[in-house]
Amino acid sequence: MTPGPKANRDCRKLEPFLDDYLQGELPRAMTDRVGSHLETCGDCREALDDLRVSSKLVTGAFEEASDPGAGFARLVMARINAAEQWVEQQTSFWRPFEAIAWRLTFSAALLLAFLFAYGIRVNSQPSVTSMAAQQPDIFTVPVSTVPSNSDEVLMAIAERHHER
Amino acid sequence: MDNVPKHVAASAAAVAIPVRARSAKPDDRELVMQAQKGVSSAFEQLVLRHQQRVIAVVGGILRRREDVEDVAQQVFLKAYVSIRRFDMRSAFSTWLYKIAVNECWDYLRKKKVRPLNYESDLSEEQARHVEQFVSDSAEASNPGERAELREIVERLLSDLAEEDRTMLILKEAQGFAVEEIGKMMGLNVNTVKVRLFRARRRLATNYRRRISHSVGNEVRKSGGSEPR
Repeated sequence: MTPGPKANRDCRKLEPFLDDYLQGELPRAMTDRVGSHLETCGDCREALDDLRVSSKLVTGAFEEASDPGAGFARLVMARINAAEQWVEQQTSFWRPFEAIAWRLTFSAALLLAFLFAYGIRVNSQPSVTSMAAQQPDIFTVPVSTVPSNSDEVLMAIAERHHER
Repeated sequence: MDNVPKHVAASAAAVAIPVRARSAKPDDRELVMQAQKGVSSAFEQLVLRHQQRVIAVVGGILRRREDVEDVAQQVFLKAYVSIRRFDMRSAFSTWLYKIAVNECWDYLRKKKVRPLNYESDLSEEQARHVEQFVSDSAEASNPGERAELREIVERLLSDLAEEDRTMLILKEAQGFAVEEIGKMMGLNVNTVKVRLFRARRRLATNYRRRISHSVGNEVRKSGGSEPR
């Protein structure tokens, strides 16, 4: 007999409960509902039998893990201690190098700072040429553009005539 | 207290644990907090408390029994190293089983263990043995019987996805709840239920197919029907 659409709907709804039904872990009302469905549905009866068979096979083949006892915990702790000691050894081996590396780094940083400060100081000092440019030339007589006395007036007129 | 050296303070706290344990068993949370402070005896108590379940998880995933203890120890070593990062948002056991599952997948990947694929049929004797076991209400009693049954069931499980196989063993053989399996494997509870249902039906189908094939072969042999 082919199950109708209603039966199919029921199958899909009840499928998740089949395992609990098998284990006897369903509430009374639900157990009755699944039970009455199983009476009329061959597919679900087959599914239930599949669950029973697979459960039997797996539980029979794989035994439940037994407690390994305190020996296992001691082994774990010994492994942890060994790992910690190894890490400790590694760090103690590198420690002197680490100290040297820190000293070198510190010295290099200090040297860099010193060089940097020195560079700033040197740059801020004026150079010889710029100082010379800033100093007044004592050998050239500054010529004012405006004549200050009558002689200078005459000299300026003479120069203009000469230029022409 | 500030002047007390670190290791002295730690050992003082370590002494405090057994004293407390006499009056009331400290819960996982308390032990985890102590372990996070570096008290190794607290971590040892956690190992003692969870070792059986961790071995159950690892044993459910790995096929070779000789690897199980080694991988389980590795799981606890990893838990010890990263316990400071455990934020107590989930139960310690869930966090630990998750480490166990990941460690097993890593182990299988590194060892390049491929799922066994048995093409050959069961022998007549094997078929009879397993059929009798399934129809009988008794459990496999002696270790030899169980080992033989395990070999047969491994054959029947060989075409299931690795995750489905693991779920099935954790649920049926090791007695983990569907919720626990979901958390361990990072899957929704309904997904676990559906996959378990399908895996179990598939296992049963494989069983029936192999049995009928073996019986069919035997009938052909005894009936003397010659192949054309």
